[in-house]
Amino acid sequence: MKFWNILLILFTWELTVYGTLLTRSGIIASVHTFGQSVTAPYYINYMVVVFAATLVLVAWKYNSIQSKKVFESFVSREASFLYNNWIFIASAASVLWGTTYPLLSEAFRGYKVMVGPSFYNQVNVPLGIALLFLMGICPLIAWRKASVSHLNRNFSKPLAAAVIAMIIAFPLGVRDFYAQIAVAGSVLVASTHFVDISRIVNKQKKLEDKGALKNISSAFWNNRRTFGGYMCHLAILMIIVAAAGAVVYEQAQTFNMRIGGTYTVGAYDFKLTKIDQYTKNNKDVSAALFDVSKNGDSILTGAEARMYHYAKQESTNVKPMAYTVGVDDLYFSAQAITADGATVKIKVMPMMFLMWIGGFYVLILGILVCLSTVVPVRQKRISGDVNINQNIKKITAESTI
Amino acid sequence: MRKLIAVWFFLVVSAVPVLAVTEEEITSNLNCPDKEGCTMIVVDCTCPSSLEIKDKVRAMLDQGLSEKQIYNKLSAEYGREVLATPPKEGFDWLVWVALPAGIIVGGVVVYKISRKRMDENELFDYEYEKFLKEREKL
Repeated sequence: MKFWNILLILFTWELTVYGTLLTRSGIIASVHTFGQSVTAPYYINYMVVVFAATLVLVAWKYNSIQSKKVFESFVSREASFLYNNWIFIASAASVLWGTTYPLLSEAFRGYKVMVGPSFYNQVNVPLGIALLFLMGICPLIAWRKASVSHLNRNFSKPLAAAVIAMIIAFPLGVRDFYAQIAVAGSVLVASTHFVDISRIVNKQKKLEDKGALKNISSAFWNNRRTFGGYMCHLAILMIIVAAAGAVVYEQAQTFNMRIGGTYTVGAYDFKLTKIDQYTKNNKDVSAALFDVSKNGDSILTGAEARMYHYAKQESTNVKPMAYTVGVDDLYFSAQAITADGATVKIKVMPMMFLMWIGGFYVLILGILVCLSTVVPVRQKRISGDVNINQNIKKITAESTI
Repeated sequence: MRKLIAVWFFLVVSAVPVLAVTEEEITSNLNCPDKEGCTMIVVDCTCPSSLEIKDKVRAMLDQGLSEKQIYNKLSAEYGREVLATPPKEGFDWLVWVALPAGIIVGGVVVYKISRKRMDENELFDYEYEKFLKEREKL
């Protein structure tokens, strides 16, 4: 695994620099391109040096990093890690291919064919779904080799729960094929994790029954790496549920608004109260200000949709604004702002709070819990070393006597 | 379990006809044709030419044109560069086919290497067990 991981790290870094090279140097038209760029040779040289130096180091240390273990079956937990890696590589390859294709197209046909969001969605959504199911399978699949009876025993109930969830989700408006699959995958992940966590807690109970809460906390403390990993899975699950929720329940509308007018999107009313125009940090700002209410209750005042005009560059940019209100996110994107009105696209994105909580707090907490196991291991090693040193001193002293 | 899957399949299939293409979906697949070098996708762009395309797409949808007909009309008017997603035809098939092919070929290579190593490992275990049994006999 060490050799494999080093290769993955190398390619991740190289591709990150390559992405920067493509956008900053102007090879691909991008809003991030420098005006007059001479950076391309620096990036290319840097990439070549990093690549060559890493390969030299890998060759030098190959004996100590090469993998000696072989997995025994393609239906095992070890193999599921390989599939997981494969999906991530495929996803990275799709981005590399999509961003490089315009160059190929220009080289062979004389004009650039741009590859837009639709390509990435078509490729990466199925990969994401596969990853979701893999995340559901991983906790309950056996190490080394899983038998058919083992798979039947462990997965029949979670799979049944996943199918029932899809059927329940249908009358609730989840009718998009991928959203349905996302619901099934999410329930599968949640149920397999629940089954494994309850198995660990029961094991702890058999060892020493200290009451439900203490059993759970002991199980958690004694299996921090597992529980930390599961917290990261939970975080990813929250992100996926938020994304699926956004696809299914998102409401968006563009309005040509006048000051004093009220416009409705979903359960929210947006009243355009004022147009503000001022200069700040070398740019002219135009802002449309809104009061937002839900079911007659005021929930937000002074929400803005902004546009920036840079006189020197003669360019106008839209500044999308986002506000979190309870469980929903409200997005404002101005298309035009005049003295007495504005054209603004408003989006109501439900369940987005899951994205922020999962993507930040739970993920970081999970990683910290995983890392916390490093501390006792080090302490143990240090104490072991101390004992060895003490024993050596004792033996030396005895032999001197 | 089979009954549950059958019910789900029926529900999803019966929902398919209600899914119609929207203006937002179409404009998400179009590049802004602005000559000043705008790099935005039409759906999020506020350039005059993008606003013009949005109006045209809306009108064509109202006329009942299909998604493909709309793309054909727009690429005839603005050039092929207006399409943000390469069409599945001619040379552009490459963009759609190369990646899955690469993933599958790479997967087969990894499978073959892993299989070979697994077989070698099994052979080693078999020989080792044989050796242990012979030593026990002695």
